[in-house]
Amino acid sequence: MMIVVEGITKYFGNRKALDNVSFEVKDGEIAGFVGLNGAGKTTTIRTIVGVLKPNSGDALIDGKSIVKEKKEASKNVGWVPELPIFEMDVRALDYFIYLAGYYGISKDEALKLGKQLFEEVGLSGRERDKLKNYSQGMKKRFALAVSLISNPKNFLFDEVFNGLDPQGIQFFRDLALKMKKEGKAILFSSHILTEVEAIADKVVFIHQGKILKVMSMNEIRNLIKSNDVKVVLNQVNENVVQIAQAFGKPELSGNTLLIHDFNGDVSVLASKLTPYGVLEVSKLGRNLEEVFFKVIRGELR
Amino acid sequence: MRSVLYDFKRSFLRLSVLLLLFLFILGGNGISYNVFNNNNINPSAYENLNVAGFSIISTLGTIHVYGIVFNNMGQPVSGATICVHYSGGVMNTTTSSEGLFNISIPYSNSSYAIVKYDGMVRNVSLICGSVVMANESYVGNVSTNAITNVTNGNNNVVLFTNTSEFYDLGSLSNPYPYCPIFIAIMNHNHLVMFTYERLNVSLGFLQANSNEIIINSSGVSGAKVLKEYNFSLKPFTPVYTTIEVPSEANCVGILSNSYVGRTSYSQSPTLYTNIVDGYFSAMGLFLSFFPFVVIYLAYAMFAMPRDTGALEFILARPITKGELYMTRFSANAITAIIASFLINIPPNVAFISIAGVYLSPQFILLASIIPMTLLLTYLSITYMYASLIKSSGIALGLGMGTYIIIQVIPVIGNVSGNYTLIEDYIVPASISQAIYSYLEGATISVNVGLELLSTILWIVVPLVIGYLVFKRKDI
Repeated sequence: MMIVVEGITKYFGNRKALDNVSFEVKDGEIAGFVGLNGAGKTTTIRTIVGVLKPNSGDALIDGKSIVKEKKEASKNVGWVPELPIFEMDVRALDYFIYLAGYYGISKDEALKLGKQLFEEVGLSGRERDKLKNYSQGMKKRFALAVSLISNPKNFLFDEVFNGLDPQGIQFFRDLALKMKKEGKAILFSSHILTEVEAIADKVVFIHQGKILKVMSMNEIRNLIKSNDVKVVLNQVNENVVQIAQAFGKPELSGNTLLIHDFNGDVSVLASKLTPYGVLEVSKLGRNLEEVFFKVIRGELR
Repeated sequence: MRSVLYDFKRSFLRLSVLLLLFLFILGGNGISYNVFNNNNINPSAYENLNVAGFSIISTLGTIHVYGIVFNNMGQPVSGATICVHYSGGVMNTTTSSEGLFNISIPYSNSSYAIVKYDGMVRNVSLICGSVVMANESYVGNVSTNAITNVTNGNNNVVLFTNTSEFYDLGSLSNPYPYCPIFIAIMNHNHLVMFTYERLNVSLGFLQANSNEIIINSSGVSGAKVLKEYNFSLKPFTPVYTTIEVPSEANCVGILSNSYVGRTSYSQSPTLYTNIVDGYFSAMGLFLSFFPFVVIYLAYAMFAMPRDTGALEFILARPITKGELYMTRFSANAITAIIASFLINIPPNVAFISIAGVYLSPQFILLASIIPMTLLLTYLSITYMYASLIKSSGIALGLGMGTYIIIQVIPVIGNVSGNYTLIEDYIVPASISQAIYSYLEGATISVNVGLELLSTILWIVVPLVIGYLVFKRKDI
C-alpha cells in the first residue's frame, strides 16, 4: 500500500474544502482522480505532498505520515502540479541543483543527475535557460525532473495534460504507464476522462470535497458495457420492427432502429434486414463520462 | 545546514544581492571619503614626518634654529633635508642620526623651514609657530609680540612644531605657555622629548578623579599616580624612548625644576579619535538607508515567492515549513552579516593605506555589529510580516513603514524629554550606543546588558512570531 489517504478534512477559513477524504493507491496501480472544477482534487494532492496541512486526517506515503514525518514521506513522493510555479529568475539547472540539496545531494552529484534527468524528460539543451523562459509544458517536465531526484515510488500528477500539446500528452501518458510497470503507485487527476479511462486501473470520484466512489476499471467497464444495437436502414416499415422484436426490444426513430437488450446474432439480424437496405450495424457503448455524471448525481451507489 | 548553504549560495549569488553588496562596498567607500574630506583630515594629519624645535632669537639679529625630525612611531628620522627660508635667502642642512638639526640664519620675521624626507614634505614656521613661549629666567620676558621686541635686546625662544595627529599627547605647551619642553607621545607609547635647557623632569601618568589636581614637589593631590618616569634632559638633546602607559591614565602631569603642569590625556592618537568620530558619523548616514535594502531582500527572497506560490514547490521537497522559514532567513541573515563586514572593509583599507591608521580586528568586529544588528532587525521584521500576510507588496510596505515609524520614535522622545532613554534602550540596535562609546574611548554611560537585551529582542521576537505563524498557517 503505497499512498494511503486517511480521513483528510481541510478547511480554508470557514469553507470545508475536503471532507473526510480517504482512498488508497497501491503499488503498480494508476488511480484516476476525477471531479468537477473545485471538487477538491488539487487540494487533496497538495495535502498528500505536504504543501497543505490537513485539519484532521493524514496521508501515508510508504507508511510514513506526511503530517508527522514530512521529510521522510516527501522523499518518496513525486509531484507534477497543474501550473508549476518556481522562482523564475534562476537557470533551470541551477534551480535543480538547489532543490537537489534538500535531498542531501551534493552539487557535483546533482549536476550529473540533472543532466541525465533533463535528457530523460526531454529538456536536454535547455538546462541553462531561465525558468521564466520555459513554456508551460517545459515547466511540467522540469517539475517531473525534480520529482525524479529521489526516484520515488509514488507519483502525483495533477491535471498534467492541461496546456500540453499532443506530444506532451503522449509523453506523460507513456510515462505513467512506464511507472506503473515499474511498480509505482500513481494518482492521476484529470478532467480529460478518456485519458483516465485509457490508463487508469481504478477511478476515485470526488465531488464537493467528498469521495463519492472508488471503482476499479473492471467495474466501470462492466457498467458501461451495453447490450444495445443500432441499425441504420435505407427504407423502413412495420415489418422491420416485427423482425427486430425477435432480437430484443426495438425502437424506431426515422431510419434508425435501436434494439435494446439485444439477444441474438448481429449477422443474422443483418441478413434478415437486408431487403431494407442495411447501411450500418453497430453495438452501442457508454463511457466514463456517463459513469462520472451518474456518480455525482448519486445514481450509482 | 546544507540547505542553508544552498539557500545562502543561491540567494547570495542573485544579481540583486550582488548589487546590494556592491552598494555596501560603495557605502564603505563613501564613509572613507566622508571621513577624509568632510572631517578635514588632510595629509598633514597623517604624514609620517614630524618636526619640532626651538628658535632662539639672539640680540644680534640672528635666529639659531634647533630642531628634531621624527616619524609617527616616535623614531628619529636621519638624513631629512631641512631648507630654511628667510628674507633674502635659503639655507640647507640635514638631520643627524638622532634626527637633530641646527642652523643659524639672519633674523627674518617670515622665516620658515621645509622638511623633506622620502617624498614627504612638512613645512613649519620658525618664529610664528603654534605657540610662542619662553622661560623667563633663561631668556627673559617673551610674549606673543616677542618678535617685535627683538630689537629691544632680549633673547627670545619660540617653540615651533608641525606634527601629524598620531600623538596621544601632542604637547604640554598649549594650556601652559611657558613649558620649556617639547613633549609628545606618538602612537600610544613612543615618547619624544626635546628642550633647550638642562632639566630634571618627572613625567607622571595620573588617574584624575577631580578637576582640582595639584602637582608640586611634595606630590600629587586630586589624582592617583599610576606610573612615573624620570628624565635628566640636556639642552638640544632629544630623547626617544618607549614607555608603558597605564590603561586607566586620563591625565599627564609634569614636574621639573623650572616647570609644573598637567594636561588631560587620551589613550588613542588624536588622528585615530578624529577618524573614529568621522567614521561613525558617516556610517550613521549610510545606515539610514541600508535597512531599505535588507527589507527588499526579505521581500525578494521570502515574501514574493510565498505570494506567487513558488515556495510550495520547494515545500514538496524533504523539508518542513519551519525549516524552510529558517533556512531562508538564515541565508539572508548571512548575506546581511557579510554586508555588515563589507561596509567596514573599504574605510579600513583607506585608513591603513592613506593615513597609516590601523583599526584593530576587535574594532572592525564591534563596528560591524552596529549595521549587523540593525539589518537583522529589519530582516526579521519583514519576514514576520511576510508570514502574517500573504501579499508581498503589503509585507514590503509594512517593513518600510515600520522602519520609517521607528526612525520617528526618537523625535517623539525629543519632544517628551525621553530622547536618551528611547535612543539608548527602545529603538532597534540600541547596542550601537555602547559600541560607539567604547570605540571612541568615551565613558560608557548606558546599561550595556539592557541595551544588548533590547537589541536581541528586536531581532528574536519578530523572528519567532514569524516562524510560529508560518508553521501554523497555510502557505
